[in-house]
Amino acid sequence: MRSRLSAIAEAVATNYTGYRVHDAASPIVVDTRVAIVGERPRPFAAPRIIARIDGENPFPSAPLHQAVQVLETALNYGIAFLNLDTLILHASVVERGGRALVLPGTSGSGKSTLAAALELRGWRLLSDEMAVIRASDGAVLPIVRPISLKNEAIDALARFDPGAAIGRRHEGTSKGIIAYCRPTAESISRGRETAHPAWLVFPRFRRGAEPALAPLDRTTAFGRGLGHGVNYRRLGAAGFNTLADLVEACPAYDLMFRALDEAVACIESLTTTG
Amino acid sequence: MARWRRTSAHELVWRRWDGNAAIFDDATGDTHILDALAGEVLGRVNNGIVSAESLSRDLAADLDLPADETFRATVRRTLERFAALGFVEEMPT
Repeated sequence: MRSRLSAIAEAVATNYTGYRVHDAASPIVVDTRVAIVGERPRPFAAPRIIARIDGENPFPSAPLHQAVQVLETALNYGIAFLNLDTLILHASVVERGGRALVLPGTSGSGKSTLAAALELRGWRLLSDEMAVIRASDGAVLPIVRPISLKNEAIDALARFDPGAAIGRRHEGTSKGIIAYCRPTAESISRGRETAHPAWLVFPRFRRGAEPALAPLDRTTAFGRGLGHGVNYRRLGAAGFNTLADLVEACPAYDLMFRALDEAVACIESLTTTG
Repeated sequence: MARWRRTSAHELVWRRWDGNAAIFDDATGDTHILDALAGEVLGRVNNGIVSAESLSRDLAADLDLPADETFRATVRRTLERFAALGFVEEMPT
């Protein structure tokens, strides 16, 4: 990773404290060259930034103040295009007792905030944003990256646990205000450990909604999972079989919630009884 | 009487759950989710040549539904949808 931008240096220092610079023993190694560089499109124009990934510019330039969001997006891009035999779902994943809880969801569903809250209550973070599921055995590979929190979720997590390691707020991004929550030291230090999925929960934050956990049949869970596939089509039959294996291995639920403590209680009740 | 058979152009990967099914079409890369009736229709044609009449009669009996004209029309439409996808074809008479 290369950048001369101070915002990038500060974000890396804050959000990636405690990480190994390179861990060849990790089950997943993303070998991508990312450069976040500033440029002026025209003389006297406001500076903009560009993400160069392995020598290419896959994204349009962005305002300078979005540098940290662009960095994280660029790192996600490197993972999404890994040439590994893995199915990638848009999901957060946490683990406890060797059993992984997969939380697929679109942006705004509350999956990242819920994963951060669960991590603060003793679960280990495997990944935020992307669940990387190995086709050969269904194991989730760890991608322990800072958790992306948006808008009111930032204060919600700070209220839920004032000890959450939430970094600087980046305002005016394409998704509003973004802040990154550094994973716990345990999640980072156990960043080589895979886990097999045991539960599939589709979270949905809805203001004012009574908390409700509703079981889903396998066909519905499969259909929902399809909607969260990042590289599903690229994998062909292996993607189909990996997703089908996932819904056969895990009971699936819809989780509607309005507050983090209620959502965590629902998850605890689910995962301690079955 | 119209008879139907599977085609060889599309290799389908199947999973069946709770009466429903998901299939992956290797030729196109498309995934389809089938309800119980559609899954049964495609599954039975996959297993061998069937006439639309006998298929409707057997399915109605197995699913405990009346084998009336509405049901026969539903089965025919389902077969035609699978034919449009290239999974099955009507045999020349």
